[in-house]
Amino acid sequence: MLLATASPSAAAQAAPRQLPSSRTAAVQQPLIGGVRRAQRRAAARLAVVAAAAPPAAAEALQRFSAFDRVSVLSEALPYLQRFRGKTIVIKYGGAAMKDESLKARVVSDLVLLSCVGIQPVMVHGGGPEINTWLNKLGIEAQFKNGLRVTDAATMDVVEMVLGGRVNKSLVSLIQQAGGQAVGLCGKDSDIIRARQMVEKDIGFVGEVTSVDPSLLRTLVSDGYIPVVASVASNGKGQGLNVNADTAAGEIAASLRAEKLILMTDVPGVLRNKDDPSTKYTALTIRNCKELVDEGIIAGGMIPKVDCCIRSLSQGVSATHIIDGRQPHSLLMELLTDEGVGTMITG
Amino acid sequence: MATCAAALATLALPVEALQPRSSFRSRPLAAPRAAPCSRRRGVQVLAGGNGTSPAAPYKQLEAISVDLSAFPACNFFRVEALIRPWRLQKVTEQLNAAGIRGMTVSDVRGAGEQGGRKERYMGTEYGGDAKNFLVEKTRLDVVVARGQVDTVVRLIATSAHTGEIGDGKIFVHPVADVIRIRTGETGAAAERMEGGMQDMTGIKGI
Repeated sequence: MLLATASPSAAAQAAPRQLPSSRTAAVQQPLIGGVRRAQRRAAARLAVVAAAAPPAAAEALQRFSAFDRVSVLSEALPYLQRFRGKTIVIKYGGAAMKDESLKARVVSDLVLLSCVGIQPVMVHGGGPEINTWLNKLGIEAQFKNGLRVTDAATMDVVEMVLGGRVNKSLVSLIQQAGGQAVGLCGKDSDIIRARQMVEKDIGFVGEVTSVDPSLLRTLVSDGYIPVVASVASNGKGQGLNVNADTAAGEIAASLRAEKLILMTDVPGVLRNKDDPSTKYTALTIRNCKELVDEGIIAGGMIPKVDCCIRSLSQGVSATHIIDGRQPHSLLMELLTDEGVGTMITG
Repeated sequence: MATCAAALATLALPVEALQPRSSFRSRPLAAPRAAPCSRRRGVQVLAGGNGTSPAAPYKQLEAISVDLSAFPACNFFRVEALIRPWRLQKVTEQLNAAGIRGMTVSDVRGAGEQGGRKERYMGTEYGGDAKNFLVEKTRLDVVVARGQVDTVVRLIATSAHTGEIGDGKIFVHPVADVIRIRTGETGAAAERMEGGMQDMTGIKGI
């Protein structure tokens, strides 16, 4: 009755056409409720699809017949089988985080992986977002050797922005795309414990000392997608700002993940840093060390590669540095031979 | 995705780009490692961290030669390697490819802490305090004839190496005799594996 009175127009339309007079409200209720739910769901799906597929991708898709699409899908089978039930840790950041359409596609990739039985864990930072909010609060962002100088006030903002805003917006995006996400920060159940890097004198910046994967294991085995913000606890109530790459690497190590995927703003490890065609598809630890010695791997790539080697030496099977700016880079890397980035193995 | 071999083939670069350059050896970094220089290495103690100590270049591992001169009359040696558990498959593949067909593996736990530097295992730092002291390792025992010791040690060292703290250690012990229980063979006949390294390479163990 309540429902019927709440939407009199729908009831008026449905009732006279189908049932002349004597149908009970009990029958009508689920009908109306069902219609509404379907409408709501359709609207939500439309919104996601619109965000996820910009015009270019839609045109590309139109060139394929239904048979093409199905055969491409069936070709992914061996990859899906290989990674089924395996844990994959994805460090999400950089350009893919700022651009809304990329964001939606990363999220839909993630949900797809989770649907086909792969267990993704997402770890994220959020430097630009933190800067925005520091600005709004009139706190000046300071950096020392590429690391953020984090005093008590900045740490509060970091924790709020990463754990509150960035984390929950990712969670709600995943939920919208039909996944089951749980947003956490390193403090929850002490997933990441860290020690303050006093020697670097940059405030509350932490070095990971231990990772407790038990909560993540529970979530992942029940089909949830954990989304972890790179804020760590020091065991005494103080939050610490931890590099998100490192956090992702250590979480991957603790879960003995099949893969660690770092989403960056570069195509991968390049021989000539200005020419994307000189990208290495696959490297071993040994290759990496030689390339570092030759000066080919330099600058901001060194900490990324170090992070990969560090988790490889702890038993992660493969690590990938991929171009997060490319649409569907996650799926390209996981489900095709060429990949979009550089794979580093032991 | 791609296996290493396939990936090498698809590289946009000449494969020799990946090979260690000859200039590598002449790098100043390599020199102090060859010479005993423990004092300088001692300074590099840092709290935790990754790859803070210089890791041995692979060239050096490939040129290891084991000093067996203390046991001039001993024909057999046991190579005992303590390695990271997830490197075992790689190591055994390499050994098998080289014709080492007899080995024993056991799960062990151990510690090997140098100057407060911590080893990482499962995302967690080990060493320093009593709580996280022993780390899981795998022990690989291989008994080989005298002439094969260097080869085996080099194979294990290069395939177990990651450059991070906790890569492991190799010990070489003298072995008095070998007996194959099924046949009652002793000595060289018992040690030799049909189709093994001696048959493959012609390196006579003794």
